Amino acid sequence: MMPYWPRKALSALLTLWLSSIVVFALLRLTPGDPAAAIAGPDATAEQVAAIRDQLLLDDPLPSQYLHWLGGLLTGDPGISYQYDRPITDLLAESVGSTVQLALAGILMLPVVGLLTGLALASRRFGKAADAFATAALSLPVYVSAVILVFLFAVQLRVLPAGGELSFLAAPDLSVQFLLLPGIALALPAGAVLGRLLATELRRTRQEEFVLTAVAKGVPPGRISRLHVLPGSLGPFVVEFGIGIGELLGGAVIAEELFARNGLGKLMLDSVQNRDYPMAQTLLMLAIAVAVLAQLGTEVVLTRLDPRIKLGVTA
Amino acid sequence: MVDLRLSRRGLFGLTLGTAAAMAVGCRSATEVAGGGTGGSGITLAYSAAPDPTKLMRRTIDSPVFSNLVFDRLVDLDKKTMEPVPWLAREWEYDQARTTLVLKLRDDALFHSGKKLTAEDVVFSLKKAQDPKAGAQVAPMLNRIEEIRASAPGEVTLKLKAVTSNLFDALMFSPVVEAASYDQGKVIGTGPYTWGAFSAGNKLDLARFDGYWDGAPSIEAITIRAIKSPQAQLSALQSGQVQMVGGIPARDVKTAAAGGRYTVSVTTPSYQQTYLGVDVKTKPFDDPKVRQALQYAVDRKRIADQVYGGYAEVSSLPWPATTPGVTPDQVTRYAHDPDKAKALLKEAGATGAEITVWAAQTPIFSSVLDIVQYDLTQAGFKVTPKLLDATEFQTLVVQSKLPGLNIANIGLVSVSPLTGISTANPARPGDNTSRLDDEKYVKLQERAFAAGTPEQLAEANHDLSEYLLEQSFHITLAQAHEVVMWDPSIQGHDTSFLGYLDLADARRGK
Repeated sequence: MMPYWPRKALSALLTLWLSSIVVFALLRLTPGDPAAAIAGPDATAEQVAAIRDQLLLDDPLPSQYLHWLGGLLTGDPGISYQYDRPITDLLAESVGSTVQLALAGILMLPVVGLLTGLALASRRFGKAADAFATAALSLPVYVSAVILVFLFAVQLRVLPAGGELSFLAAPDLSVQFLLLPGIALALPAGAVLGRLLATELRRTRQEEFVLTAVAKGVPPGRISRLHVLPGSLGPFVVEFGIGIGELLGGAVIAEELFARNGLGKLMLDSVQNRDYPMAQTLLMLAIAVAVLAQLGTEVVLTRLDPRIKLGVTA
Repeated sequence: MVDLRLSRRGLFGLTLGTAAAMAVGCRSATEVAGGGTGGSGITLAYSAAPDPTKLMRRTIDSPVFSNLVFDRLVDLDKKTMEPVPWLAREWEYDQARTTLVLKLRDDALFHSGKKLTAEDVVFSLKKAQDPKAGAQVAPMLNRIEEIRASAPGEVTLKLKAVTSNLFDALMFSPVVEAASYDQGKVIGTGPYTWGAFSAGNKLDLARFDGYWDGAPSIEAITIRAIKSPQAQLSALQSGQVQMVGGIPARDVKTAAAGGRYTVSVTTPSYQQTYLGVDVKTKPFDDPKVRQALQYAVDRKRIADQVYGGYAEVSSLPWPATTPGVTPDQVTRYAHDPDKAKALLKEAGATGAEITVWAAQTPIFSSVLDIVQYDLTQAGFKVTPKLLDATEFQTLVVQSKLPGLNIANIGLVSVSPLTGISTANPARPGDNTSRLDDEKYVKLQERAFAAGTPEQLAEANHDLSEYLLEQSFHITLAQAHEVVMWDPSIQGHDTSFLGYLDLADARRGK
């Protein structure tokens, strides 16, 4: 029997290869001709044919597949139909934006969750926080984004309505561009975290060790800070991990609403315009990240339970 | 309940700290994004990103940047529609009108510093003839047999036959620097130079101090691609951009209602929204049924509800001011459901089941709703079908949409001959309606061969009459492009083609 890690690596490679076939075939099965998208609505059949010829779209499909796969494996997935530029250049221009937005959302998420949870569990802010959490939960990103932009960009004019700047080039400005999309992204998942935390806080408050501390006369603030809150954070952390996934899904919408030039926008444009090499490469990138994440999880699990690596079941 | 006294203090401190950090030593992103309050740079938001790979074509993004970077040989006067000098300072036809000699300006420089030469013009026109460049005017340019630099600063065009709309094609084609074009560089002789560019996202333009007509007042222009109309309007309202363009006209109407912004409408340029009829599909093989469609559609409602009133109501694709077009032709098919019903009955097509196709976009979906209602009222049984935009476009080009389809085209606003020669849906001999009629081809040839204004007017009239009678390409609206400006920007204009002209624009109160 093949050792555990080579077997896992082989399985991952096989998944990626099969995915590349599925991705390639799915895009070709989608109705619509990339050449027609480029040529425009008033183009002649002759002009469309000239573009098809230029893009080698009439080559046999296996040949097109192998050409793309070969390029992908050598780090050159080709030229974007839509932009007529190397895909690697386009990825390099967009990846930073998406990473920054995702990080902003991920950083905001626990902040929103903690503040909401603590407010919900408090006497003074409980009702207001409840209304806020309900609104944040029920409003989709595209609505909360509009409200935030109206308040902070249009009325108060303290933050930009959209756009971006590289964090490395101008960190002070970049942060301002990230605040609104980050908050809009973090709101729904943050409200879920907040509600969960509030429930846990209330439950922990009834635990015997807390009641004992109260009976001993420990100040309430100290009890909350040192006993109740730490004892309530377990489910919060688990839900935080799940929330990150939801947040990344919302990032695509946030890029559109806040006019950011990230990978989500690139993906949407490339699928809409049947930019096959670009869409294929982006999808493969997403699949590769998922496969790597899965492998990473297995690494953690094998560390926690060596029997997994040995293939032993309990 | 949890006591939060300490947490509240912490929270307050954190908030104060963050506010202080942002206030001290931080620049305002809002101000930077808007070009600064005191600077002379401006930012324009447009629904499509500038695309340097299709310079010879008119694409959705052309209006926002093409005339800022490039000059053309001629423009057309917006009122008289006569050619006016641009890079060509004068020209002369021979007596047979088959040879045109163009004399170029001698003071025009490319952004590279190189002087404009006749060879650059020859290269540009030949490039626009190449089917790979996809220029809509290629069918007109292909009537040129020979393009040559006949002397320094002089270009001679020898035509295969008289081409009455040759200047439409010359107005359309940008002049590029021959030496750099094939290297992918974007170098023209226009008032702004192509600068930092991020594909699909942003373009920075810088003032060209060597511009032959005097350097423009605005130093720098940033063009940002913002697809979402809501995001565009927010950017304008927050002062981040000074112009928004390419958003649905009905959104402009709502946003501009308070009078806070200047609304600019491109004239005479517009996009013609049309109902394409596949004449090989029953019952549309009968001209009476096609004429019933003309009477059935409520153009005024489409103009008001879909285009916010920024559209002309006409039975013709081209402007009412076109020489030779008569008022009765413009109003020939006023909305009249009773006439539509009567024609359908006469053709024995009452209750005919038909399909109307459109691309799934907010605008075309709205037009489809109105058309579906109107045709149902007239007595058709209508099945509406919305397709993904690229799929729809593919099927239109391949003439594979049986029944009716709703789409739009651009260059019919220039002239009847240019419209039918450049737009696939209305092209004589080979069109998406599959109408193959020698009479139509001959009418086009007659228009091409018109040697005098009178002959051209007569040809225009007859072409209009033919389109009205055959009714295979039905005008639904002549929709102008509408842009909104911050009132602090003055002196902005658009060319005959509707391209942005900022040579005389300035920023100030």
